[in-house]
Amino acid sequence: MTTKDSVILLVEDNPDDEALTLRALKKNNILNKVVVARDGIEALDYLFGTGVHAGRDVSDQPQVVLLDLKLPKVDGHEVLRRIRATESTRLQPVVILTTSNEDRDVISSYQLGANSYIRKPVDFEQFMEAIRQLGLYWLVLNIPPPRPD
Amino acid sequence: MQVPNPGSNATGNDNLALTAAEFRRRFRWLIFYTWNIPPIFGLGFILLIGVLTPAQILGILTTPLEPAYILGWLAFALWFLPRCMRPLADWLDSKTGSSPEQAVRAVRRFPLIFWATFLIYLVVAPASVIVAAEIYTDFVATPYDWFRIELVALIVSIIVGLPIFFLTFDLFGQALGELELKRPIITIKTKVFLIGALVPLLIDTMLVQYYWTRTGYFTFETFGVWLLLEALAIGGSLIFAHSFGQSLGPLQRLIGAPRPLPEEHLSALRPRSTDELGLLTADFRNLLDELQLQNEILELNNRLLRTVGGVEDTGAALTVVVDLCKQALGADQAFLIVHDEVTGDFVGVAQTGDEFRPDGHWRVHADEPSLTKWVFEQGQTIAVEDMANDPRVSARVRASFSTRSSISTLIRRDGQKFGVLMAIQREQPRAYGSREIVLIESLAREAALALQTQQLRQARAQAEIALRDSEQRLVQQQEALIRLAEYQVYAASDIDRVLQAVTETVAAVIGVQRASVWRINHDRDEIICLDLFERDTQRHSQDAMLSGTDYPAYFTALKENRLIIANNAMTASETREFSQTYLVPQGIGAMLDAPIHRAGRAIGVLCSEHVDGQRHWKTDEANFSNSVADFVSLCLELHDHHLTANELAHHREHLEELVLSRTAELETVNRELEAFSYSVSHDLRAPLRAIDGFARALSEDYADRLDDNGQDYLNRVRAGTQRMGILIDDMLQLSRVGRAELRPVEVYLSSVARDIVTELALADPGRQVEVEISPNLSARGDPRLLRVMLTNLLDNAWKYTCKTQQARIEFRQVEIGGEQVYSVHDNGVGFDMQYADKLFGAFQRLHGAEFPGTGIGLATVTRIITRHGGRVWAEAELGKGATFFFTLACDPDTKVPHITYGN
Repeated sequence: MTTKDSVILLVEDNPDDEALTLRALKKNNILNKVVVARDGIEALDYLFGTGVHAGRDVSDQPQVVLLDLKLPKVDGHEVLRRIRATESTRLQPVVILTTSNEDRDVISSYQLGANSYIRKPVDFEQFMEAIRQLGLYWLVLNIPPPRPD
Repeated sequence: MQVPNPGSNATGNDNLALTAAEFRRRFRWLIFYTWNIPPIFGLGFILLIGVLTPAQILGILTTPLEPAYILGWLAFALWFLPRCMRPLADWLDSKTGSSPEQAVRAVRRFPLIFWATFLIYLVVAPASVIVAAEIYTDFVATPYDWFRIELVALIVSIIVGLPIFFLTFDLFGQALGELELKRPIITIKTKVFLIGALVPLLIDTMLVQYYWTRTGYFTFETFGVWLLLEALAIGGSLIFAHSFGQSLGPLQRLIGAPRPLPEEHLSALRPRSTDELGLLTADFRNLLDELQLQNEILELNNRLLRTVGGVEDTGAALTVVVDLCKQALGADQAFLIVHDEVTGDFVGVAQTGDEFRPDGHWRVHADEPSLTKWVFEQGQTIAVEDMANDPRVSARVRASFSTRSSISTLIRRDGQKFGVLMAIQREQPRAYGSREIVLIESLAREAALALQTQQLRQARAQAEIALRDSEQRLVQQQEALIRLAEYQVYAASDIDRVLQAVTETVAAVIGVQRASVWRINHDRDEIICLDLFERDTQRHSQDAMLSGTDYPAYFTALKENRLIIANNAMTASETREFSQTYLVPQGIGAMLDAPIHRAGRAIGVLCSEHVDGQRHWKTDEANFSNSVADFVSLCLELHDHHLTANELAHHREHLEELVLSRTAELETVNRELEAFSYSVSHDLRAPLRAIDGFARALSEDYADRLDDNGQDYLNRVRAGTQRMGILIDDMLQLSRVGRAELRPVEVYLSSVARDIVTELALADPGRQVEVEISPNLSARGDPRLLRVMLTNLLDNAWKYTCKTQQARIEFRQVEIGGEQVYSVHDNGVGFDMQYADKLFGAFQRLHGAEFPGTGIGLATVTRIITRHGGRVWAEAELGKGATFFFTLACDPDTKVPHITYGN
């Protein structure tokens, strides 16, 4: 039931987490293209077609952005704020996928317009389960906002 | 029967006033004698001369006629004569019963009445005798007998009647003693004549009759001798009366003379005999002279007092004294010489004919002999008739004053020798008598008195002026104080301005060159000048300093809060130590230093310094200084308060800064802690996840290459990481519980507990646990934290009952010691109470691996309950379960202050 065309943007600086997330996605048969941005700038470049991703077709935006909060250069909250502040990405579904379950992180994320907040469990099996449900929901069940044409 | 003695009574007992009763009694006795003695005497004499025989006499007396005659007359006299004298008795009785004039008139009338009655009685008496004799005896009267008996009766009446009559008048005299008679009632001359001439004459007549009767001898010669003797008696008594009249003459002229006595009466008052009357006259004359002198002196004093009372100053008063002295003594000139106490000289300050000169018209050296010096030293009045050869006077003095006679006396004032009053005669020598001495001495005394009075008057006038000045000054001072008080508003902000006003005011009002305010330093060993105002330059200066070690006496006085009044600053005990260093250089002569004190402790001094000589500080000036000092004290206190308030404000600001910085620090720490927690939650968990994830990946992807042992190890790796993850979460929770802001609301603990148990049961569906939760338990607190707390407790209860058959958990509220306490009870494994105190510490566990746990749960519970102002404790027994009790304060915010730092 997955849409292979749609892209998942994974913003994750930790290579272990990146590997485990990709593994979990794969194990759960989520075969969408996963673009990994290793810091906030890179993520924004991808979304806005700037920097290293200059010239990218920004009308083709990810099905969902999996955004870690703790990131080098520009952190997850700032990335989220800019996504929401930019007209072209204003409606972009963003799921916070982070280790923190601090209240203020949760609250500020929702305040900035996060669509969902998921804490990465330490237990990999739980992690797998979380990724599975996440993929099912956001890539299959959820209807993203229409692309601007 | 009492026999009165009229004679002695009449002359003695002068002090006793005669009462009316006594008078009447004595008067009646006198009448009684008067009417009884003559018949006895007469009959006796008739018997003696043989006119009647004893038998005839006896016959007469035993017949009723003669006794009836005598007793009848006696009764009449005893009734009639007292009646005539009633005005006198009445006057004596009450002094108002009859007027003195009536009494005197009765006395004047008495001789006539007396003699008329008496003579009729005795002239008729012989007739009664003769008639009785003829009736009752054989006696036949011849005309010759009639003559002889009548003669005897007459003579007896006079010889006996006269003395009794005089005795009666003595009685009247005694009775009338207090009355002033204008003229005598019976003159002494009359008395003398009657007693001296008439009585001998009658006695002679009786003698002649007696001898004639006895001898029958009576010739012309006898008659001639009788006549001669009678003439001699009358002549003698006339001479005696004349002599007596001469003695009495001068005094007699005074009777009824006009008052005051005219001069001719006084000059006539000279003794004209050598008897008692003569002496009495001389004494009387002296007495009058003395009286006149006293009068003169009195008048002199009067004039002196009147005149001196009207003059302005001492000099004028002394001039009046010498003028009066000259007049009173009829002197050519009078002087008043005072003794100069410094040089000892005698200075003629006042003399008649000249103005008063305090430095003297002339001066006699202390060592030069002079009468003045003599009088002054001896203290006696000296009168010198002829100065020419008097050794007490030096030739120079004698020559310069050309004095013939002088009289001088000492003047004492307040008991001290003051000077000499002197009157002199230049042309004619004069012999001074006691009159002059008395006059000049009296004048000197009165002069001294007048001077004193005059000085008192002056002093009073000065005092009045001083009082007026003082009142004026008081008004000024009051006004100045009121003006100063207006400066109080500057005390806090601009104390210098206040102090300048103070020093200027003090300098102006007290009138000193220098006024200053000094303050005692903190160590109380120095005073520092806050402000000094110098009037002549109109300049203020500050910061001078005086050390207590240099001026110990002054500092002692200052610290004892003493007002220092130094009229002479160079000698006053508190200020003389300033002499060389301060007083002389500044030219200060007097100091008035009022202590400025606060709560009885000297904190400074207000100095008024008088430049140029000494000064007598007045009480009101001292009072004013004190008042100003009090004002300064008040202002300094206000100023100090202001400083303190400023300092406090500064401290408060500083404190706020401190709090802010501390808060900032704490916030930093908190942020760091949060960052740490954040890091822990992110950065510790991330590798754990990696370990767990890759271990899983390993066991999945490379299962075929791992034997059972390898799988087991990988499982242990994963179990370790998961356990580590739980630990980290619990720690984060503990940390969060400590930091989180409390948001107290009403929390329904019963329903929270039910939710938790439901979750526990869901998570562990294999367990059969009987749970009893009291309904409607609620408390005020932070719902999230209370939930965490209850979760921990119930989770523990759930966990430790897992080995128990029929596990049971109770959550209820009990009352312990009047306090509402919540309890969570289980019937699980329990624990040993000796480790109970370890239970609530972090990472403290009483059980091993058989019961999973991190040892952080109860630490979290403790922290939450503590933050809610409550307590938590546990009771347990090994194998028999445990009960956890906790309390929650109603309002955690107020019971336990807790600074929270939120966003």
